[in-house]
Amino acid sequence: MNETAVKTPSWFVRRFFFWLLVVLIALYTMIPFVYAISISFRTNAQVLIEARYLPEDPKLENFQNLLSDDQFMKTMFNSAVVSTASVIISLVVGSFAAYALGRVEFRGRMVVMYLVLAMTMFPQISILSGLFNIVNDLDIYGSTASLIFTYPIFTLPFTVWVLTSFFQGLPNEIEQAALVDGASPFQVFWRILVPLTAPAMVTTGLLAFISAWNEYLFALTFTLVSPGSQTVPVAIANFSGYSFEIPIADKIAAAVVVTIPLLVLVLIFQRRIIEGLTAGAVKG
Amino acid sequence: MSLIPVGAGRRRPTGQEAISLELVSGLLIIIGLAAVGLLFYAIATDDGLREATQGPEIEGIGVEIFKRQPPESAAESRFRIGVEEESPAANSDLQGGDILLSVGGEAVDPSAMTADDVNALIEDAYQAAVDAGQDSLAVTVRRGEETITVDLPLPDSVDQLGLNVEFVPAQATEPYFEMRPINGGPADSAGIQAGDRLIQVDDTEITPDMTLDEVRAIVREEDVSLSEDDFEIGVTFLRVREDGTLTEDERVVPKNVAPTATMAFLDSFGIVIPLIVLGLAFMFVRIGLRLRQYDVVAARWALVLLLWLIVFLIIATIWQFWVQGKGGLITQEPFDFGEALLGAIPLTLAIIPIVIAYIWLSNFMPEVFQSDESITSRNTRFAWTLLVPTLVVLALIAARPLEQTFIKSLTDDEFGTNKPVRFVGLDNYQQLLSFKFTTVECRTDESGECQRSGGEEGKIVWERSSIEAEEAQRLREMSSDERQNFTRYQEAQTWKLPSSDTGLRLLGKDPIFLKAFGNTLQFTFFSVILELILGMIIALVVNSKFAGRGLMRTAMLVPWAIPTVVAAVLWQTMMRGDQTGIINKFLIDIGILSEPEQWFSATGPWMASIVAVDVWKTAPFMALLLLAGLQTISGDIYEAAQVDGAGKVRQFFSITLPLLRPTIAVALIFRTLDALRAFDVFQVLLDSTRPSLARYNYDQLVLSRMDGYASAVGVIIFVLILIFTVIYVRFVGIEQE
Repeated sequence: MNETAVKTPSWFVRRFFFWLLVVLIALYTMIPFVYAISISFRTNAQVLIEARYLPEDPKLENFQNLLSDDQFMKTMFNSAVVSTASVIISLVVGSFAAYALGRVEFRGRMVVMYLVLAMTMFPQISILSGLFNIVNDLDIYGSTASLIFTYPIFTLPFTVWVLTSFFQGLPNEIEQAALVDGASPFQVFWRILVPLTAPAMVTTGLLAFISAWNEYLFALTFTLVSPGSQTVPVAIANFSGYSFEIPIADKIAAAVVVTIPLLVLVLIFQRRIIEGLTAGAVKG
Repeated sequence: MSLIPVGAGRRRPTGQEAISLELVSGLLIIIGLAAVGLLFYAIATDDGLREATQGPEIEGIGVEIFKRQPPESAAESRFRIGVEEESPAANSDLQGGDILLSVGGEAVDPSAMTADDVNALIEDAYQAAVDAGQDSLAVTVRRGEETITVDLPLPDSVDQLGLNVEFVPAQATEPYFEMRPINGGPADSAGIQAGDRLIQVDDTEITPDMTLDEVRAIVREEDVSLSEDDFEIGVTFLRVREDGTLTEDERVVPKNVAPTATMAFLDSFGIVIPLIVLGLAFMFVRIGLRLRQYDVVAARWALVLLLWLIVFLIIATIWQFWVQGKGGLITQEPFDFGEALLGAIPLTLAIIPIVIAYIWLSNFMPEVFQSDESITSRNTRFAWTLLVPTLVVLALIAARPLEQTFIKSLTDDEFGTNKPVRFVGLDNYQQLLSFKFTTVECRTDESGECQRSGGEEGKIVWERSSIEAEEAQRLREMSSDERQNFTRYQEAQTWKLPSSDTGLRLLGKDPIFLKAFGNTLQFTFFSVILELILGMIIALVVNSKFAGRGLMRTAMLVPWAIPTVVAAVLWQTMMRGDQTGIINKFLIDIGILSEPEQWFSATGPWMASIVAVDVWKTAPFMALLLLAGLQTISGDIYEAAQVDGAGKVRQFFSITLPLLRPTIAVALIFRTLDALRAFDVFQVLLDSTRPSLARYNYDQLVLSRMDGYASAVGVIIFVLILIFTVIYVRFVGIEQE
């Protein structure tokens, strides 16, 4: 606060502790991933002998193994397909609902709002057995289709909720002007509001994509028996390695490989992600 | 009168328009009735319901039973002969299977001799014949009713005679019950073969004096009711070997029993879907009727219904085309366009009249219908039109499974068995939620101190509580049937009461569930509190201006972006329980620990460890939420406070905290609900004896395949979270514009 104040010794002490705190926080959040990268350059045998801060003899062997493993690459592909498909479904379906909830006054609006809010907090685990039955009945157990079918249960309410708050934030004048000019409500929605919310769509889509990419429970339940349709989290949790040794270094290398695309996404879109994450919570 | 149109619109409908209106209205009514019809058709042809009302396709264990009378001749034991090829025996009239009566005049006696005795007799007779200078040996056999005597020319040694003897024991002449399994039935799959002779069913022996009907009734278990938990029959039988001997064998055969009709209906249809179908059907019919009164509101609703119907039919057509073409959702077969088209054509044909109706209605409706409608009514219709797809998706993947879970939780359903689903009321919940508290004494050693397993710091060894002892005693006195239906209370947790040698023990019928419940609450409490404190510190630090603040915000996103499973695997490696774990190495290097700590073992600080993992993963996210809240607080307030001489600490408690309260509440609740359903960390880092509620649900469902029981766990989690959600909605409320 007091930038121009005399720099007394106590100011320096305070400054020192402040920066110490900053460094500690940065280390706390970053170190585990950095250490993971360090492990992934070692071999299983080396990891099993002793822990080391830095690799003694960095080797790319783990990464080479992973990149030549078709099965592992398939899980990356599965994750991409499942996440993209469920995000597209949620955005298309959810933007309609969000527009209705965000821009239109109608009877029953609060009921639907409560419903969507309840759905965002819905414990997916508690309908696991019901979904299991339905997935079995539809004959899609063990396929990626079962995941595309079930993931909207958490991506859709989330999308509706976040997009609704974005729609509410837009000024009313725009669509009133358009309505006066004789546009139909649907034209207003499609020609004016959708382009305006495109950035919000990207943000919401990204967040939904990340939550779908990270989902574990459904993926584990529905694809446990069919390795061909597993997604990244299941593959990492059940990673069996490329040798007879306990897989540690190569498992961590796999973890690093699957996290990097996410981190790249997050770094590119960090501003939007922070906006999207906090928009729902701060407004309530 | 002349100029006032029928519908009070701008003009009267032409004759053609009046006819098309009738057609459109008729179409809507037909669609509504067809939906009801389809629902009833589906109910009438449902496999589960048909089984419930008409019995299963293969009833019971799927065997037919016949009473058989063995031939009289089998009553005596006998010696059967075999002949070797290219031997004197083979060149004679003898045939394999003939019954040996005498050799060289010496009669064989099946009741007193063994096969070896007979062989010795043949050898003696051969020797006697050779000694007597004869050139043949007389052998007498019986074949059927006929007695045959042949003279075998003598070879160089007795072995070259080519005559083998086999003893055939006498068989019972009493009637027996033969089984013949029905192809593909449970008995067939369990390995019972046609011709096996039934001798015992469960504990009931089958005796020859029983009648066929009696035996059939025993196998059908007519006296056993559905509630008696008996879906398997132990079948003991004699199997006839190739050589005519009988061996005893037994199989446990599952039994096909039909479920009750209510259960079958709820299983296949539930309540939500029929209600939606009936509701929509009612809507179609009502709007169809109101359309004829030139009601513009009805007409516009009709357009909405038709539009969505077209959209869903198009989606259904594409789906059919794809699924029929591939021959199933997940097959490797090549795409068959013929099948695909056949599957898609009926739906395509159904779309055409609906499209025509839509075009007709939208063409003449604005002119001939009275056009008074309030803006609220318009808005409401518009909003619901947009909500339809979301509601459909949620009904399909949330409402229906939720309903299924609720229904299943009242049954004893299991996957992979042919047990019929039975309604058991609240039994599952009773089993899960029964608990008792009791006190236990510790086991003392000679000096009167409490014994500890594994040295000074080990766990106290407790005596058995009176409840446990009592139940163990009761269990000993029970019959095996009673024992099966009895679940006793077992130890879930024992706490040492302060400053005494007694412990407080929690007993439960399902101790693992109680542990899971406790673990989940404990995990939620500690992780949320720690996340809040840590998140607040991070948020306050990052909220002040300094170089590299943007970088810090980016760094905070890293733990959030890493999948929970990956984070768990990462920390599992870092917190390995020996010198190969970097955390142990670090703590030993800086002198906090002297020996490696077993972070995740059952005797180690495992709860603290998984809380630490969860806090790392989510505290930065919490910080981001709080940071956003902090940034909405204007700096002027702080300046004013500073002028008034309030210190930083005072400012935090008097300004920041109260103003931040809504944000904190939201963040807290979101995190609480998340923590209550924690699955990933527990599944990856711990074994199944220390589950969270979600992990326990998963284990029961996927590993034990106890569908009904797991559903009850799911409902409990649901209710728990519902309570928290209601508190939240009451507490914070939804933002109103």
